[in-house]
Amino acid sequence: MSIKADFGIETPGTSAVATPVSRSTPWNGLLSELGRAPLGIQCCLAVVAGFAGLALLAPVLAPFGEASVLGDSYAAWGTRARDINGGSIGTHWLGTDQMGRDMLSRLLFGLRTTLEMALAATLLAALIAAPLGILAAFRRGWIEQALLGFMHMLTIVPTLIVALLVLAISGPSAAIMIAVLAAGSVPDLFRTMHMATTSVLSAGYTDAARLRGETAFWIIQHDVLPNVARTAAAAVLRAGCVITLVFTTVSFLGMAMPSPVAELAAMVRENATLLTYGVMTPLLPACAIALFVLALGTIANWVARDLSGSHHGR
Amino acid sequence: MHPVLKAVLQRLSIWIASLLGVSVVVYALAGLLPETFAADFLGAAAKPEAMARFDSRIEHPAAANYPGWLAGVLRGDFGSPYASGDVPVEPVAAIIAPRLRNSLALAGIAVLIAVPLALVLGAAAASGPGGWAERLTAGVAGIVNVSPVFLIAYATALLFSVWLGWFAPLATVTQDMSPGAWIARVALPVLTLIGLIAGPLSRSIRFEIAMLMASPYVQAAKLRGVRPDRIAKRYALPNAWSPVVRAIAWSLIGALPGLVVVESVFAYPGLGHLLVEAASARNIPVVQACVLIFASLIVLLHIATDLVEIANDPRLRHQR
Repeated sequence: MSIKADFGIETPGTSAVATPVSRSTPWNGLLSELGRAPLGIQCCLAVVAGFAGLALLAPVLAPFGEASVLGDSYAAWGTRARDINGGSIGTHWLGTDQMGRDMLSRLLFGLRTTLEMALAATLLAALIAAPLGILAAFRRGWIEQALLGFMHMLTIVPTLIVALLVLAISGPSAAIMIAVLAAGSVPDLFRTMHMATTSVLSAGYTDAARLRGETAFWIIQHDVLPNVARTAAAAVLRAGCVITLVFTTVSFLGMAMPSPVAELAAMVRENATLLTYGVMTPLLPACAIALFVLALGTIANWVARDLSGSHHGR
Repeated sequence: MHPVLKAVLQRLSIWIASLLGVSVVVYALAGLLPETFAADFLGAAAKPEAMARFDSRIEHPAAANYPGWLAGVLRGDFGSPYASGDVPVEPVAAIIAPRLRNSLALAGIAVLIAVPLALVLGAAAASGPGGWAERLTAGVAGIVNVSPVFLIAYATALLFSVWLGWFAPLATVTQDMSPGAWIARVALPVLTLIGLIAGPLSRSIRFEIAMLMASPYVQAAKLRGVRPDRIAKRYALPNAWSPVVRAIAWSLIGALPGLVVVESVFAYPGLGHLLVEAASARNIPVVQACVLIFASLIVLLHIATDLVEIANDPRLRHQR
């Protein structure tokens, strides 16, 4: 909506008759739209970008190794870290965990694990669901019915419970965890893509394209994708929120990652004893998860705002 | 055939077929046990003979054995759990029965409080947009939507157990507890579950009521000067049953993973905690039984919702 308005203002003044109006690429449009986003949304973007940056730079930023046991367990915040000879080698800014590993370093590596897993599962789900959704919309009939029925089956048992069953059989495995998380989010993304594509295909301009003799591929590229992009983006971001929450829950229950790997939710479980003494440190990683999901979900709602905007008027 | 009966049979057959599909997957998945499972389960130090004996006791799924397995499950016979020794062990059903009772008791109390609470708060939020009820429900639902369940559970424990010291931090109940002691022990998981259910549910109730009140026939009745209490009773309520029951069922299904986490955090001896314990111990028959029971509960909720919907659809009852 805002993009259209901008074209309306720009074109009369700036474009000469001879030069074709320069179409903004999707990336330029996205960047300028982000620049004009409300302050709250920009804060959410900063939170997500900040978490991503911390996760990427975890090996550089972390003062100590992910699995290195350094001192006493449950040391207080700001305790000096000492090597075997008692020499100072730094500070445990957030103390140490139940095995005497540096909490801050574990937090950074844990964030990295959490985001890696959530990103991989979300991308996998989107890559599976989007083509299937478009396919089901194009091929009405038994393919559509079979896909809808299959997706219905997938949604009956909550992903958390499926994950516990599958990981109990396979043992802790990042790849299988990603597959289960993706499978849990595919039905929602599939239905979103299916509905959005179906509504585009019922529009007059796709009828016109078909009558012109355009191929299905051309219609997908020129009519479907541009029109479902925003819906799809919002759905993928929401799937990212759900996947993050489900993954961290499985990890909290001790089933997701093999032992020395740091992960935010697993850290909560490992250090939960501290809470009984009123020490908040174990809640830090849990709050980090909540903050990330809050930021991502708010961005998703903002991306979808024009879509839901039409309903408010009624 | 009467259209109501036809609709009922149609919905029932869809859900029973779905549940059968789930049972096939749950049964077949056990066929994917890794080769090294005996060593994983018994520990790498186990003797080869012990591993061989363990392997021979494991039931490997085969298509021909599925009907027999399913018949057993329908009779409540879930087989025997994996065991490391040769001592006879309790059957899975005997392990599960008390756990299921405990879970139903815990969830039952939480639901009996949370659902009426959500209905009242949702109605209050719908009748006063921008008021305290709307802000409260939006706030709680917002927190529940973005927080992992264990964060909410630990925050509840921190507040009511560590700081205020009102309730026991762990819900380790036993069979021979007096009802009073039992209630005091389960207070924390019940409080957490109430938040998990009532938060999102009050939001959907508010949404459903707002949709109803904005519908053309309610608007028309208002314009005709029908009294508000009559609008609520005669116009809104008969049409509210289906969406409200659907919202309740969905919120309960949505809170089921939450039950698993809450039971685990507070060490409550319920089915969800058993599922997690059995999954970490990789005791597959127990996990399968828990998953099937949860799936059946979910399907039962779906069926109940569909029946309410059919019963409240006048198009089916008065067909020409």
